[in-house]
Amino acid sequence: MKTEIKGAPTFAYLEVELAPGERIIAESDAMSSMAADMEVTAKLNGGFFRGLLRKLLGGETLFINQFKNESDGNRKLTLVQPWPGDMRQIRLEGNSFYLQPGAFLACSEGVTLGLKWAGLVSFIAREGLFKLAVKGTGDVWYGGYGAILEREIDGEYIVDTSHLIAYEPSIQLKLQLAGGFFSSLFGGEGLVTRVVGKGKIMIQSRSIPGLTGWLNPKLWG
Amino acid sequence: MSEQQNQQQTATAEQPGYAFKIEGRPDYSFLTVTIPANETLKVEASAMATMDTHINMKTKMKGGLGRWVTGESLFINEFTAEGGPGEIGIAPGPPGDLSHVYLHNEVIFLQNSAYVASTLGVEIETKWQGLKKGFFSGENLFLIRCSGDGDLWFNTYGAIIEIEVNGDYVVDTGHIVAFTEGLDYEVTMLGGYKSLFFSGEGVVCRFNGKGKVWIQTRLVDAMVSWVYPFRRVQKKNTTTSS
Repeated sequence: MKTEIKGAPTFAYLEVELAPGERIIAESDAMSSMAADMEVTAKLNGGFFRGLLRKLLGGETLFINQFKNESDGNRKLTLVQPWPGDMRQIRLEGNSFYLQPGAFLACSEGVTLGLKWAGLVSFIAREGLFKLAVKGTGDVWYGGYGAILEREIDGEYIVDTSHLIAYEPSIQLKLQLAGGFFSSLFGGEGLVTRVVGKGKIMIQSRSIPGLTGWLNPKLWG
Repeated sequence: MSEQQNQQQTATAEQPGYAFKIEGRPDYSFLTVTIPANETLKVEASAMATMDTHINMKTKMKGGLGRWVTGESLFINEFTAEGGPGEIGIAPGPPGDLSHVYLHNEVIFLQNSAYVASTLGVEIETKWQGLKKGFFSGENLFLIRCSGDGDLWFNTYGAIIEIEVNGDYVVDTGHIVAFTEGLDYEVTMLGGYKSLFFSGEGVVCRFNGKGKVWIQTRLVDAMVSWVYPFRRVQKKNTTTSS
């Protein structure tokens, strides 16, 4: 399988070339184009109940699509995400990685998608009760709104919840007020996430609250 | 992988001020500033995306009631690095670029939503543009006046173009992001009433003098009227059931 992230960073898409017999799993609405003889199978996202849980609680879809090249030549498909922004690839070697709801794009065979209890903290921060844990051996692609920046954490760091998209399992999330009570209420920052541990976090350089805060006052009526 | 043109800067003799870097340029620029120990950075409300845990946030009602009128959100937050230098990441709302200037006892005027961050030596106040200038510019009646000594960061929607003006220069009003003091400006019509109604250009800002103008390559209003017809609206007279 050959893959390349193109169109980055503003309108990134993933170009995949599958050799005969190879397959890739993608988020249900991610396919934008593909070879006509590609075999597509809608699969429940890890069983019905777990799939349903993921849909309801993890912000992912109930079904995911499997694209399999049943022909005898190489076949291409392109995968996209709903929002403008960049994409990243991560290689798993038996380890796991956590994605915030909606960030998942695609994965190769050998990667399993699981839901992990994210705790009440995450729920209060409106990030859902569960987080998506990808684990196994293979590649995972995910995306964000805006540019994607990597931050190496050793100790503690504060991240606005709407900017966090992915993190390593060695990182724990804690919720706190951005400032004092008054500041948090009126300062527009509100709740922030304190990430604790040693490892990598990925943040997106734009957020939906930032976009709506900019655009909404201009939408008269 | 994504190619990013990153701007990184550390304080030097010619360029005093805080060390900072801008990542994700030009589409989704993200500003990271290192605040020296016990110093304070002013940041537009709700723009903070990441920060070190020893940075303390305080909300100040800078500008007082004037800020209600300017349409800028009422608050600027002050971030202080307690005990040691600290890093803060700032994400503006609109897609676009960021610009940095260091003011040496200078004055820069910003369009009212362009302000991102500044050091304490920069005084931020809102300034009444006058009815004609303000009203006809189609934007806002107020500008943000930044004066003093220190770093100033502002953002744009779209790419940013820096223009040296010597003499006369015309900018479509919505595209103005910032300009230096010393430039006089007036709002004029481009070619009379006929073109106001038919050319789609209409009202422009005519700068005169010597200085700098920063413009943005996209317009908020144009974006709004482009997406507006597709906005989902809740029909009136229907009871919401949930």
